[in-house]
Amino acid sequence: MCMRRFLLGLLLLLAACAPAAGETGAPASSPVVMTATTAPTATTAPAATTVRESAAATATTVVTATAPAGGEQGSAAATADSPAAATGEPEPTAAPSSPIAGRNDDGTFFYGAAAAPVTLTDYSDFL
Amino acid sequence: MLGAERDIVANHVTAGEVRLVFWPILDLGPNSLNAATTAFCAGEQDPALFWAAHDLLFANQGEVYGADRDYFLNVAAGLGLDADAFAACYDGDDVRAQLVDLDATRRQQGINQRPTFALVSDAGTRRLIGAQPYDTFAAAITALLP
Repeated sequence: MCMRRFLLGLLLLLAACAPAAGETGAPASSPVVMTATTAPTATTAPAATTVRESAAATATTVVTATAPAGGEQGSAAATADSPAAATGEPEPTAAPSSPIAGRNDDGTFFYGAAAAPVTLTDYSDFL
Repeated sequence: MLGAERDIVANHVTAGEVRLVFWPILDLGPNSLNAATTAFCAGEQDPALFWAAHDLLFANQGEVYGADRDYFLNVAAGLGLDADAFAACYDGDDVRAQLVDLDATRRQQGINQRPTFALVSDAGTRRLIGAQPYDTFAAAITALLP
């Protein structure tokens, strides 16, 4: 009987100590517990935010990537070397520098901006 | 000068540095005039079409020398020009007379070799004679930029 009481007492003692063991294990498993507990909200919310941010970032990238392409369509190779194209920013000078085909007073045809500082006249025979 | 011209357009005309002008030389017989007439008649309908015709004629330069009227009408058709208006222009005297005048003017300017390229800016003038590589044009343009 004494032995049984001793064992019972030992079990009770162990039982009493069990929470303490759980607490000591907690620090080690704390991140897991915390993660498990907060994961549905903590990780989901940032994850959702991250997705939105990356989606927004992707959209921005697409827009800025499209802008130079549109500029290239508007005026061939116009933006390939421009700093604005390199930075992905809109090109405010695209319209003014877009080449214009027109005719001079002497009847010859020109291609280029009216304000271009250099005029290159090509005297050629088509043959 | 289709070769270097593409690079000049891509790197300097589009950048707003250079304005390109084409001045006809009529040195090689009737088709010099007929080809120039084709390009100028295209330009009568739309200046941008002058440059389209200019590119097409230079790209097919080997055919143009022996071309007949139908060839030039087909060039116009290929560019989407108004066929009747083009034919009237091509067969008329106005554009041809203008081209002859331009040819006479360039002779008076001392332009006697083809091709000749005159580059003019406030910084000065340069003249390049004969077909030149793009790098030569680029250097001349850069020297004339403000």
